[in-house]
Amino acid sequence: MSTRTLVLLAFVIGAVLGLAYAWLIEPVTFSESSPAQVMKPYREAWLIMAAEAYVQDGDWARTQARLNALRDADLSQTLTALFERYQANGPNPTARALARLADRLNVRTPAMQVYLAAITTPTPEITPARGTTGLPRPIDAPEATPTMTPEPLPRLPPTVTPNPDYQVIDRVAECTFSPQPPQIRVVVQDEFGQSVPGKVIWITWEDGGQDRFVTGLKPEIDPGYGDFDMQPDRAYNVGVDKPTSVIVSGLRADACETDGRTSWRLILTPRLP
Amino acid sequence: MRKILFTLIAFAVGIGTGLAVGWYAWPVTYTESAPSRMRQDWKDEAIWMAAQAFAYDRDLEAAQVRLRPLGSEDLGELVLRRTEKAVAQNLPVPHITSLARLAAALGAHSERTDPYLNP
Repeated sequence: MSTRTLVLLAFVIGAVLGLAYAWLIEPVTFSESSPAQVMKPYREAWLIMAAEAYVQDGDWARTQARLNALRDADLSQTLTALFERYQANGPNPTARALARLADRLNVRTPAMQVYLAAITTPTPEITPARGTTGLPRPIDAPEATPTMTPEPLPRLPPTVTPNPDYQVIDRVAECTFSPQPPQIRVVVQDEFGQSVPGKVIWITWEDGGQDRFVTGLKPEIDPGYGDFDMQPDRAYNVGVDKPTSVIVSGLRADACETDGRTSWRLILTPRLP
Repeated sequence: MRKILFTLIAFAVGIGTGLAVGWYAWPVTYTESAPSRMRQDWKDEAIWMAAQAFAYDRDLEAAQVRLRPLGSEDLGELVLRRTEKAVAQNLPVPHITSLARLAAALGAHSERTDPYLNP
């Protein structure tokens, strides 16, 4: 073997041994890592904390610095996946914060729009009838962040006025069998027949009761779908956006010819001029 | 003799090159390290975020889950130290308040932080 070959071989063997020692036996240990280098569960926790902190204080510059620390090249995807996971458990503050943060980053999905609609939908103004005192709205919410949890609503006699903006294009009675409760099932579509998530549907009934829900929380059924469980002894009215703008009235969960109770499926669209 | 000498030198240079590459030029990178290994300023940021998140969602259990990976046995003490640091740094009152309230929720408070519980 020539000297040159031997020297080259010795160098290569030495380099391999050196690398093995540096990478496998005594690698560089970082005791000062950044959020980008920590385990995935904590990176997710970091993102959630950043989202909740952003909703809490609205400091966008700080939030951006926190997000940049993750060095996530596909932050939108990460955020969307995290939101989907949290919102699958039903409305919750974490999903709401993630939706808000995603919205700030111009990332929107139909499910996120439901949360955002619930945040931005103004509380309907209900003018009490003369001589009636409306119950004060509780103001013990610690933050300005609205909640999707249905608030106790004042029980006032509804003043029924026609809603010129929406109309019923389909109304179907369906039989629902126990243990499923009878429901009012609403799909809101736009003028082109596309489903519309994030619409606030108001349900009122004769003794002054009212409740609301938002379309789009069950995208597996339809992006513009929402439903409401009916009581057998009540006649319900359905409105869009405001409790007083009734589009359909007198829906009852009557007994079907066979077993079960009547559910109502409605498709609502904007009224064309 | 000369051949052996050159071989030994080449071997030594090879080892040196391997170590230099492995430690400096192309070191092992850890992408899944423990949060307790984060730099102190990132830990401080994480504690602050946990306090802000607690102010938002009021979920003490979630706050504990978020703080525990930072490597402290006593979470109350961890947040209290961060709160006192924020006081010493003269940080904005809302910042200190959220930290003080989380520390108190975790059972830790001090004379320096008590005034910030209800500013």
